[in-house]
Amino acid sequence: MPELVSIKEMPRDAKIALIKKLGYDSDGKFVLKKGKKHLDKYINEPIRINNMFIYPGSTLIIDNNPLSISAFFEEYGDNAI
Amino acid sequence: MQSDCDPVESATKGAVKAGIEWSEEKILQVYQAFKNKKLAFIEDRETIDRIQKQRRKGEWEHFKTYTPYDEEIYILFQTGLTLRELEETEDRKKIDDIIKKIHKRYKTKGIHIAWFAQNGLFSKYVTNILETGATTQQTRDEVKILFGNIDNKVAFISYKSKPKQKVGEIIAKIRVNSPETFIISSVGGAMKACGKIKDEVMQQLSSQYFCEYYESEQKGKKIYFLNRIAEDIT
Repeated sequence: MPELVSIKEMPRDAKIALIKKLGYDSDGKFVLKKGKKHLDKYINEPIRINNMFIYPGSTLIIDNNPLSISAFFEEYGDNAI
Repeated sequence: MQSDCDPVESATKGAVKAGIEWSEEKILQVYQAFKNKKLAFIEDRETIDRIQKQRRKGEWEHFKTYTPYDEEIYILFQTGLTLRELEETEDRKKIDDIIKKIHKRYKTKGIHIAWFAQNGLFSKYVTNILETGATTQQTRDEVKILFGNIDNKVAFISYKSKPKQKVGEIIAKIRVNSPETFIISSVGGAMKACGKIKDEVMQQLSSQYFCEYYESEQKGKKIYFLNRIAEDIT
C-alpha cells in the first residue's frame, strides 16, 4: 500500500517536472495529456495542477474532490491507501 | 532559505516539506519511489482523510448492509456524507462546488441521492421499514426500489419550493406510483413550509396513508414518512 503524501508545499515547477516524468504535461494551470487538458475519469473535468491526486500503478491522476475520491475508493477499495 | 533535505525522506513522513530544493535528481528520487508504488501524491489530505474516516463509521456499514451494491449510488451516498460534514464547516463555496459536480455528472437524481445521505434520511428510512416487520432482504429490496426511483418516492422541500405546486407534484407522484412509503423532507428555513405541504397532502390522501415524522430542531430538519395503509383483504 503506498504512503499518501501531501504535495501542498511542493513548488509548482517541481509538480510539473514530476508529472512530466509520468507522461503528462501542464500549461501551468491544468494537467495536460498529449497537449489536451487531461480529464478526471470520474467527473470528466480538467484537473488543476494545484488540486491533483496521483496514484501509482498504472498512474492515475484525478481531481482532489469528494466525488472523485469516493469513486476512487469504490474502484480501488478501502485498502488502496 | 532552501533546505537540502531528502525529499523522499520528507515525503515518507506524510507531506513534502516546504523549502526543499527540487533538483532534477531529487525529482527523480521521488518519481522512483512513486514508480515502486511506495508513494501516492495529493495536494492536501483533508478530503481523502474525511472520506476514509466516514468509510469506517457505523453509518457507512449500515448503508452497505441495506443497500445492494451499485457503484453510482455508493459514490453519491458517500459524497452526501461529505456534504453533511462540510455543512458544519459552513464552507459554502466548497459545498456549492461539489453540488455542481454532482449535478453535472449525475443530474437531479444524483443530487437527490446525495441529499438523502446528507440529511440523514437513510437510517430513518430503514428504521421505518424495519419497524413494519420487514426482513433484511425485504428491506434491501425496498432500498433498491427507493434509490432506483428516488424522484418519485421523496420530495425535497427547500426555501425555493412553491407550496401549492409542490403539493400537486407530490399528490400526482403518490397517485401514479402508490408507494409503500413516500418521504417529505426539509432542511433549514423550509421546516414550516414542509409542515404545511405535508398537512395539505395528507388531507387530500385522506385515509390511504398515515404519517410518522422525525424532527430535529437543532439541525433544522423535518422528515415526514407517509406510509401506505395496508389494504384489508379479509
